[in-house]
Amino acid sequence: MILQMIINGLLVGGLYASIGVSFSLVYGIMGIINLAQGTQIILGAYLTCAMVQFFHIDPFLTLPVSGFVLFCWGYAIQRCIINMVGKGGVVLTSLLTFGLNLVLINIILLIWNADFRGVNPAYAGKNFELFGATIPYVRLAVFFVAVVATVSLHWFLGHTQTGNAIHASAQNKRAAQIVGINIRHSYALTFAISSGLAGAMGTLYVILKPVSPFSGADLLMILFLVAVLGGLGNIPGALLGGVVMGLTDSFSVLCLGMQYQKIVLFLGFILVLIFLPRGFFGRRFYG
Amino acid sequence: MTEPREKLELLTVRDLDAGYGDAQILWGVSLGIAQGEIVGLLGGNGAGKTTLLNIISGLNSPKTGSIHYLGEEITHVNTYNRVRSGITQIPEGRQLFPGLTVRQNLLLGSFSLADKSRVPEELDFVFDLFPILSERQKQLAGTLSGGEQQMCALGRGLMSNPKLILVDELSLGLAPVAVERIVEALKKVYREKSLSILVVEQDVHLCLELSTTAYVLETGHIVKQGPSEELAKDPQIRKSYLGI
Repeated sequence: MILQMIINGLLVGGLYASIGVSFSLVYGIMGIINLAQGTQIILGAYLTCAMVQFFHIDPFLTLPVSGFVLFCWGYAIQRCIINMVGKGGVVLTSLLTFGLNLVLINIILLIWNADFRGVNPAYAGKNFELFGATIPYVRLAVFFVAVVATVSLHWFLGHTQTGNAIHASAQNKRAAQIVGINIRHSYALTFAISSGLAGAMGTLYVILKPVSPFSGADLLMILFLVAVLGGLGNIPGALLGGVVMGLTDSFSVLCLGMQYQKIVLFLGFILVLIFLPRGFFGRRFYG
Repeated sequence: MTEPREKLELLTVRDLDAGYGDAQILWGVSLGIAQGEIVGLLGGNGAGKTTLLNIISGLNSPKTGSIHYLGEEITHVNTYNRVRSGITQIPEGRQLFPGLTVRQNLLLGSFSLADKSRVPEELDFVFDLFPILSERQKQLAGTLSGGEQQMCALGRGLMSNPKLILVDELSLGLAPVAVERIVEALKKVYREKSLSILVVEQDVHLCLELSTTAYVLETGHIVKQGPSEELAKDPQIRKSYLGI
């Protein structure tokens, strides 16, 4: 039973990590708290539902499309709107993303109404046994895709010229301009990558759980927790934060029951804020 | 230091007025840099030297006036397009990317290089110039000593294969030995690459030694200009800048 809980926690932790990373990236590079991130994930989820419904394709195959659509959305929204108040500080940008969140929710409501939607692939119930624990294939696949996405993002940022340019824009804006980086493009690209990852994770999320237009709020709480646990702006930290979140999640359900799950999470969160306010890796990653 | 190779105008700054908010910093500043020339810009703290450099780089915009580069007006061109066309700044205080390695810093210098096949060649040139950077290429730039950081900053600027480099306070905060090494390197770069240099320096000796022509900027006005050798003999300059 405990092994089962650990496995469940780890598997969902992979997804949480990826969600946390997408949030942490934008904060780490631009200092923007994107309160619309939860709903961006939900938008990705709805796109997947729509594609599965219309084209009868496997939900995993829709992942590149929802990722790409959200990538373009993120680029446009950053370049045209958020960029305008980028110098306004964290309060202004938070207000702006809060407003964007409301707009997104209402767009989803207009197109798809308020019903819960989900996808149910034929293989959803299939699983295998490992040391007495049941592992559903779907959850395992979701875990792998999420981890691969996160690790490749980390690799991209560390080992490509574009990735270095993104780091450079975060570390020294003036110097980035001096070496010829178009920082408006660089910021928009960062935001787009974050949104694109959110869209892709929306596909994975809806494979596990049905969503409503308002599910973004729950997700926002999770990604806040993951990002803060790992240290804001720190990608490897967010990976660890995701796994810890997943484990806490499944153990609180086991020991106390579903209704106490969120209480445990937030009590844990308060303890972290008191004792490890900079997350597991108590240092600033950028700047 | 050297005779100007050809008197072909590379950069022309005309009647520049600039400032921040209500505070005007530059008043009708005009300045020219010929191809293959080293021009010095002298002036005390707050004279407006860095502001002028930032306007040439495109980091700040002037209120009025114009900048021409290679015969084209670039007054309103973005910084990244100016870097692409060959104007590079070696900023005051180095301004490296502290969390990236020396190698990554240098490679970012070639970010605007259109022909990426030149990158290894440029990198070799920089490593040849400063072998210490080659040894430290995997080290984070923030952990280098001041002199090494300045080498890295100069190297990063050279990676874009510039036609004009704007060197801001090269010697500031460095040990004399380090300054000497870097100045030697700068002279070598000048000999081997066909480029022009605008040197902004508080060290007047150094500035006049390096440059062929110099300008003196005081509270936003160009008060004197001429061949560096003559300026070095000018009684007023000797009095106010050289303390003789």
